Amino acid sequence: MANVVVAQKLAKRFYLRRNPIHSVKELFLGVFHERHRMELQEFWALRDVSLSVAAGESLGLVGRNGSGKSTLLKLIAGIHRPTEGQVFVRRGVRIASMIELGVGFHPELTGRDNVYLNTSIYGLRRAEVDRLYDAIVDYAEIGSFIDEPIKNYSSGMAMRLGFAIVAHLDPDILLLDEVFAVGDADFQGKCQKTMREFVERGKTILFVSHSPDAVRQMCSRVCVLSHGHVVFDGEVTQGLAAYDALVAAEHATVPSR
Amino acid sequence: MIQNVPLERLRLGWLAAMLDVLTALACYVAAYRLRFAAADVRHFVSIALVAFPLIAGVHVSALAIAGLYTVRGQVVWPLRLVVGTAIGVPLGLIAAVWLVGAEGLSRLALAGYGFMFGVAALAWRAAAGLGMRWASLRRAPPTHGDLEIQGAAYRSMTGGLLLAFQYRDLLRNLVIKDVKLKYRGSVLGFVWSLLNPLVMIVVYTFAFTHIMGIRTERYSFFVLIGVLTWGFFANAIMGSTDAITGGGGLLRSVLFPRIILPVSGVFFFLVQYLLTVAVFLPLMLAYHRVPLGPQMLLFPVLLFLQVLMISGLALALSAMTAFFRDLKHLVEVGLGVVFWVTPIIYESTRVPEPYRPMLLLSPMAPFIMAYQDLFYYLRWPDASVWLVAIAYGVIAFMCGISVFVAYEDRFSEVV
Repeated sequence: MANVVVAQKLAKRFYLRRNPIHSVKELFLGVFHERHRMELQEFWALRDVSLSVAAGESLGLVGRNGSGKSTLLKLIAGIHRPTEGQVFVRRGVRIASMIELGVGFHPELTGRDNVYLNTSIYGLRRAEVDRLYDAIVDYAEIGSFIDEPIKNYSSGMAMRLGFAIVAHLDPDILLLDEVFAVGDADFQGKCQKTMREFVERGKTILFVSHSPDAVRQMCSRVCVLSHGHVVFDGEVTQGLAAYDALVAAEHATVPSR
Repeated sequence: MIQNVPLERLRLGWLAAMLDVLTALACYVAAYRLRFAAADVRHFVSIALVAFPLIAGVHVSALAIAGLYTVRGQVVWPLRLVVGTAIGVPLGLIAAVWLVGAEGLSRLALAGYGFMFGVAALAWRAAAGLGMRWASLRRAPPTHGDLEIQGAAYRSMTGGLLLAFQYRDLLRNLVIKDVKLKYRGSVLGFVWSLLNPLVMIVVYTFAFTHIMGIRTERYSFFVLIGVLTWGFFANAIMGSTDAITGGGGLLRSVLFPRIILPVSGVFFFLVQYLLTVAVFLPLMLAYHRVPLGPQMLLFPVLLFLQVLMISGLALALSAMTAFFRDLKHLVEVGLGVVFWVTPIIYESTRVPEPYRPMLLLSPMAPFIMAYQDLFYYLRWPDASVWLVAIAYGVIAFMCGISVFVAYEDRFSEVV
């Protein structure tokens, strides 16, 4: 299968600010006084990561907190810009990212207004939304609440609406970050079903997760990240075993308190 | 994996410093020409030119101390430029008065010089930045088979504008959102946004004509033009300081043209401005029995230039407040100052003749003066007013775009 995403020698550096300067005042005090000067520490969230994803693959990204998997997802989504290396994507494919659920919802606006606003953030034209609108509302199962302000929704309803929107964007590549960690069992089941249908239709998924079960169900391939490096790339069962071994090894070196 | 970054070596950008000195000379001469009539200028310029090396020397040194010519100076350079100028010019004046004497040194001309230098130095830097960006974009980006670099369109100037156009539904939805949020749940709705200018007009009219006893014909109509136009400007500028910082979660999780955020804010206030004008203007024209003139047809042209300028400022400010949050307070103070040096509540003819050309330096002055010409004085605006309005519109927009595209791919990391 042809590749749809290729990451070449990716590296991402963040600056950690020891005494962060967030104001003009401090910036110019710093000219005169050492104490106000910002000390930068660099932190490489990713180092030398190369990765190819073929069309139709569903790739699970696993790793401990701070291993760089979310950063990798954001680089592929184009939200962060790589410090070194390049991310290539196939010309003309649509990428949708779901990194936080319900982001961009405005609590004072009705569900209907939020559907139109949110889909336009993902680049959908109004005519397309008109066509998809009923399907989105049906999928989210919020019924007559759609004309209520979002602030009156339960958190589950808002999340369902958020997921329903992304599920109907019909992207070629879907980037997901930990969204199954939230919501009740019904909602999680529905999400996973949608994801599987998505894979069956030959779409590509990149999926960041801490849950071995979700990865086993969804993914055809696993990448294990550790301290910004890819330490394993391949088959799912082996990958999850490698991840377990990694966690166990780190527990062994850092005795539990 | 965490290590200290070695302090970047101090490196003077000699070329930039030289260009700044040339800019300073041009602005200095222009400021004296603005301040004094042609006949007087020869008398003052001889002394002023003696003082020039001193003032420019202190000024450029202050810019250097602010870090404008170092490698670090490539970060937040507009801010370094502004602060270096705000500190350097008064210090230069003090030094010049001390060494050369106060004879022939005009404080007003120097204030004008500082301001014009700021605009000109911002303009040449923005132009150079856009030029370099343009040149780098003309080189074909690396490809990988039939794959292309993620976000390549976002990084190219034309591609970025094209994308922004494709996202016009987002722009519209954001403006609609702001309109709905502002007017929902209030009984009076839109009437509220008429109340503020109405109160201001009543207060200014009372204070001016009855307390201070300054007689201006049809004053309430005169002040209306300025108050409405200023309100649009001030609201849009204050709003822009929240445009990026308020976008937090969105910027961290979805890729879309960031430029939509500040621009939608400007458009919201534009809509509000136009609605308010549509209510007040016919009322005032009828009340004061002002005849309609062909000049009034020029309104859309000036409005376009004004929106261009406000958008430029909004882009630059929204990008810079993402890095420095207290810029918001500086902007607030700045707006208070600019309000009083703009002929909003007083006629420009009340300003003593020699100072009058300096009025045009206030960013909103050419627009407000032009609107007063069109609707109040019923005459064609001066060529100088047009020239300054066009210059401000173009320069501000160029600087705004330049600053915004330079920082937009780092918003996701700092908000």
